[in-house]
Amino acid sequence: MRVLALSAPDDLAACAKDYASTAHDLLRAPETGLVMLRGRMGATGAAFNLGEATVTRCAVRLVDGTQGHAYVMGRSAAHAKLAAICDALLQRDADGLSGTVIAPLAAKLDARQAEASSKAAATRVDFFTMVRGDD
Amino acid sequence: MYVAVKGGEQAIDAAHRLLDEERRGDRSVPSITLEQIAGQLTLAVDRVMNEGSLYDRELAALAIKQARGDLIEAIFLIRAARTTLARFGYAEPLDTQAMRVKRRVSAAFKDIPGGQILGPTFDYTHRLLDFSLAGESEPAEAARAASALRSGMPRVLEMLGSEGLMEQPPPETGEPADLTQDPLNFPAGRDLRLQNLARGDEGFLLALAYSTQRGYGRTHPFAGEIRLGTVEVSFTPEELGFSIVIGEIAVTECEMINQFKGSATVKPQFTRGYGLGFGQCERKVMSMALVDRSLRAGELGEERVAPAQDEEFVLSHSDNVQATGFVEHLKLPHYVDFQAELVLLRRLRAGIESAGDRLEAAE
Amino acid sequence: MTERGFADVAIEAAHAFRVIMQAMARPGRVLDIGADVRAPAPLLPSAAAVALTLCDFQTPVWLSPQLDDERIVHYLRFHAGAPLVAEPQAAQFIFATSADLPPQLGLLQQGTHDYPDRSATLVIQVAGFVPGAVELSGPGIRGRESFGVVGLDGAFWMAMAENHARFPVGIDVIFAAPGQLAAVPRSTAIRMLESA
Repeated sequence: MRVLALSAPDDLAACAKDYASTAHDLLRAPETGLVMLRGRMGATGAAFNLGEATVTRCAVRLVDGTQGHAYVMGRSAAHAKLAAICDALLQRDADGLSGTVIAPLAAKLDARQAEASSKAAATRVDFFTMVRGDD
Repeated sequence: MYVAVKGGEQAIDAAHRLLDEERRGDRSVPSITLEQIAGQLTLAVDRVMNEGSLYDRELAALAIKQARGDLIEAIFLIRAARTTLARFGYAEPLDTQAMRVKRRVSAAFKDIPGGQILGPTFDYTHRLLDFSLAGESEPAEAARAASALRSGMPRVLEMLGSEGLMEQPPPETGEPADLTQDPLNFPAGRDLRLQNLARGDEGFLLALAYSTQRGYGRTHPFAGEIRLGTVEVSFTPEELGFSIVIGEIAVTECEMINQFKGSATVKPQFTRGYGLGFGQCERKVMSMALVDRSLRAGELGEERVAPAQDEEFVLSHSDNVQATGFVEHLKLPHYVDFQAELVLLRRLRAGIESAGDRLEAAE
Repeated sequence: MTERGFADVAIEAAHAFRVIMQAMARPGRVLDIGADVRAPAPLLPSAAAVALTLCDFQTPVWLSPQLDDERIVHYLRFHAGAPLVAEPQAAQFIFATSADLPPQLGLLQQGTHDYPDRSATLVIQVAGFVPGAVELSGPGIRGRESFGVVGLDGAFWMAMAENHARFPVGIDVIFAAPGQLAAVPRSTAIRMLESA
C-alpha cells in the first residue's frame, strides 16, 4: 500500500496498466474527503492538529470475492481505484504483482528520493578554519 | 426598523464578468496554468495551504489563480472548499524525525551530526534583482553530491536533552483539541494554540514574533534547528483497523531554544518553542515557534505583560479569514445603521442650537 | 463479505437526511424512507439509512445484543467509518430493537446545558406503528397527535416522558420500521392514553 500511495498517479497507471481492466465491483466508488494531519509539540511530545489534507479512497471486490482498499492523498479517483485493484490482486497473488508493479514503482520512488537527497547533500556546509586568533 | 431592499442583480452579474475579464488580463498572452502556479509559485502555494489549512497543491494553485494572486482571498476559497468535503478521520502524528531532509540548519551549534544542509534557501543571496529571470533563460541544474544524506538526522535539541539541559516536550494526555470541531475557549491548551498558530496569518505572527525580540515579552531565542523535507502520512481507516501510508507531504519545522529556567527544586534548563507548517515556510514556523513560546508565559511562571503573551489577543486575531471578513464587511450596505446615526447626530445638533437660541434670547 | 450501502451515496444520503430531518421536525409522523439502501440482516435498511447518513468516525456507535453481528459491525465500520463501543453510555448513536433496548434511557448521553447537542440518538428497530398508545404534543405538532409503536409498552413511554422532563438535555429517538421512519425528539411532551 505504501508504494502504491507514494507513487505518482501517472507512474502507477503506467506500471499497472495490464491490471486496470481486472473485473471488479466497486464496494465504494472513489470518494474524495479529508484527513486531519497531526504534529507533535517539540517534535516528540503530545500531538496537536496541524491542518487537513485531501485524500481519495476506494474499495473494490474482485470476481472471486477478494477485497481491495485504498486511501491515497490527493484527489485522483483513478489513482485510488487502481491502487484498490492492486491491493486486492496483491492479496490474491502477492508474488505476481510484487515483481511487475511494486518493485518497479519502488525503484522509481527510491531513485527520486536519492536524487533529491544528493542535491540536498551538495548544499552541506564544510567548515574550515581560515585564521586562528591565538598567535 | 429593518428595511429589506432588493436590486443590483444585473450590476452584480456585470461586476463578476468584469472581474473575470480583469483576471484573464491581456488575451494575447497565454493564460497561466495551474501547473505553472503549483510548480513555480511554490511558496505562494505553501502559504495558501498553511493558512487555508488544507494540503492540496493543485487546489491551492487554482485558488491563487481564481483570486488573481490575492493570497488571503485564495485562503478564503480553500477554507470554503474544505467545508464541502467529508472528513475520514485523523492521521497519526507526523514523524519529523524520519523526515527526508532537503534543508536542515542550526544556529546554536556549528558542528552537528549530519551537518548543516542549506537546501533551497534565499539566505546568502544578495537580494539583487535578477534580470535573467525576465527572459527565457534556463538555470543550470542543481549540483549533486556523490552520496545521499543519511536518513534519520539526529535532533539538535535532543542532544541537549540527553544532558538534561533542555526541558522535555509534554507527554500525550489524550485526544488533542480541534479548532474545526469545537469553539475556541480560554484558557486554551497548547494543542489548540499550536493549531491556531499553524493556520494563523504569517504577517500577524511575524509581527508578534518581532515584537518579542524588540522587548515586548523577551524570550531570548536561538534557532536550535530548522528542517525542511518530506514526511510520510499514516492513517488508520476504521474498516481496516491498521495503519497505512497514504502519501507524503513537505513540511518545515522549527525548534527554538529559549530562556532557561529553574527553581529551588529543578536545576535550570532551556525552554523551547515549536513551529510546524506545510511546504517550505521558514518565516512562518520561526514566528510560530516564538509565539508558541511566548504564549507559554503562564505555564512557565512569567508575568504576562506583552501582546504576544496574551493568548486571547493572539488566538482571536490570528485568523486572516475571520479578520478580513469582519473588516471587509464594513463595505457592505449599512444604510439603515447609518441613517440611525445621522438622525441621532442631527437631533443632538438641533438640541444644542435651540439651547443656544434660548441662551441668546435670555441675554 | 461487505454489503453495499446506498446505491448512490451523495444522492441517497441527501434524500435520507431530508426524511430524517422531516421526521424530527414533525414528531410522531410516519414517513417513507424511500432510499435505495442495502443492509445485512437483522439490521433494517431504514435503520441502516440513518446510520449511513448521520454516523461517521466521530460518532461512537453501540449495537444492542440482537444487532451485534459481525457483518453489521463490519458494515458500519466500512460505510460509516464509525467506531463501535462496548457500553451504550459511551455511544452517540444507539441501535437497538424494540425487544432489547438498553436498560435505562436516562443513563445514555444526555448532553449538557451548554451543549445539549452532545447527547445520544437512540434508533429503535420496530415492526410498525399503531396509534393509540400515547398522545404527543409540542414543537412541530399541530395540537396533539396520537402515536404508538408495535412492541413498545407503557414502561417505555414512561421513560420517554421522563426524558422530555429533562429538556433541553435528553436523548432523541428515531423509530425505524421496514421502509418507514418516525421520530420523537426530547422536545415532545408525552401523555399516556387510557387504552395503553
